[in-house]
Amino acid sequence: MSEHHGHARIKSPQELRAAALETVLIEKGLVSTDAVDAVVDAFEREIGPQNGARMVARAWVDPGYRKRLLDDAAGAAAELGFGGSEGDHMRAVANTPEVHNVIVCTLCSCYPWPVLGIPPVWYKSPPYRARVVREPRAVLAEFGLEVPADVEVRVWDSSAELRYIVLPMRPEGTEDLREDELAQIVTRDCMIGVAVPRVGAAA
Amino acid sequence: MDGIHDLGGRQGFGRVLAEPDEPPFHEPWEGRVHGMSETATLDPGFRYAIERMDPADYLTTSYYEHWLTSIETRCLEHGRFTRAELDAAAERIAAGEPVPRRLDPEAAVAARAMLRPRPKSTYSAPPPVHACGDRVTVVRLLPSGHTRCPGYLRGASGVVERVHAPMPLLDVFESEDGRVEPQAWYTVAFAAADLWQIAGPGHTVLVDLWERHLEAA
Repeated sequence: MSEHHGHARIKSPQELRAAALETVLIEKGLVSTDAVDAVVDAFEREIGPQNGARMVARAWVDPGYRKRLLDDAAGAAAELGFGGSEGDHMRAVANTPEVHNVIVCTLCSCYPWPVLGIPPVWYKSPPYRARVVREPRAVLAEFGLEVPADVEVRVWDSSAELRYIVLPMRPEGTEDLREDELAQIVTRDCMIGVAVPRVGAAA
Repeated sequence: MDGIHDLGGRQGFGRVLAEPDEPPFHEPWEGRVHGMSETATLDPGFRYAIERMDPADYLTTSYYEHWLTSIETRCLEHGRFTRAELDAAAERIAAGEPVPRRLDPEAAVAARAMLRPRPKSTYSAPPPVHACGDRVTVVRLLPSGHTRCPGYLRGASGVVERVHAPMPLLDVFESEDGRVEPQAWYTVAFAAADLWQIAGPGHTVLVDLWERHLEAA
């Protein structure tokens, strides 16, 4: 294949298929280049788990915000400017000494985009979707998280329009951290529920 | 649809393989597909089109290949373009022709606005049949087509944990070309031991289900 017009060579069948689709949609007037660009740019530069981490850190330092987050997560997200597609309806579920929460979408890949971004491939993969509803403790152990037998595991299978985010517990030893420092230890996996925040961990 | 996508509780899959420092999109084409899916003029049935993929293909292709299939399938089925037009475009791209550009600044602003807080729609429907704390059973028989009722729950009983304001039943919306039929829906808690034989400490599975999926236990 030659490289006409200085354009990058097509590297895979998937790339060719996507380029052909975009070509036809554009020629039919069904999509515009700049609208697609705007979505890509938003997910690459603005929308990601750093948004959810800010909400968690805020909830840890501000009891009023924590209450609003647990009552109406979409409203609490909107306070910080986060919302929209796959996040019009959100629910935060709080970990406690008695309960550990984890989220999944067994039928597809539902995930709270505005606060966590694009889901990781493993979250969308058959092994996670098949197993975490049936044997969550085993799956969590593979992620390095041993949940004690006396802690109830709650698995939230997102099947309707509600998107879930886990509100982890604030770890010991973080009393002196500022809100922005706390956000740094809240990783994506903590808000899916396959990890818990650890002092010294970086998001 | 009792398709291959309905994976909850299936056995035989191996470890969950996590990739460190995963980017939002692994290749630029994935971002283009995501952007097209979100902003193109497309017909309803995003997930139902994926669920109708060949089961072997479903398991062996990536997430964004599923999305590609969904956009192509719906456009072909609704006559937005033909297979011949798609194939011809692929030949031109393979021969080195660039993807054409079409600018629509208003559409770009609207695309970005979809990814920011926006007003919620409200729907009216008959009052909910079940209340918090009620014991309910998941129906065994459902119409063919798309459903948000996972197969692993059929016939199982659980307890209503929360009652939600009516939303369009997505079974109908996706299967019947966007028809809106609002119904009450619920978060229902199931003891894992009522779903599978569980060794060791059990757990709770909570699932969002519409009126159609439930009957009083």
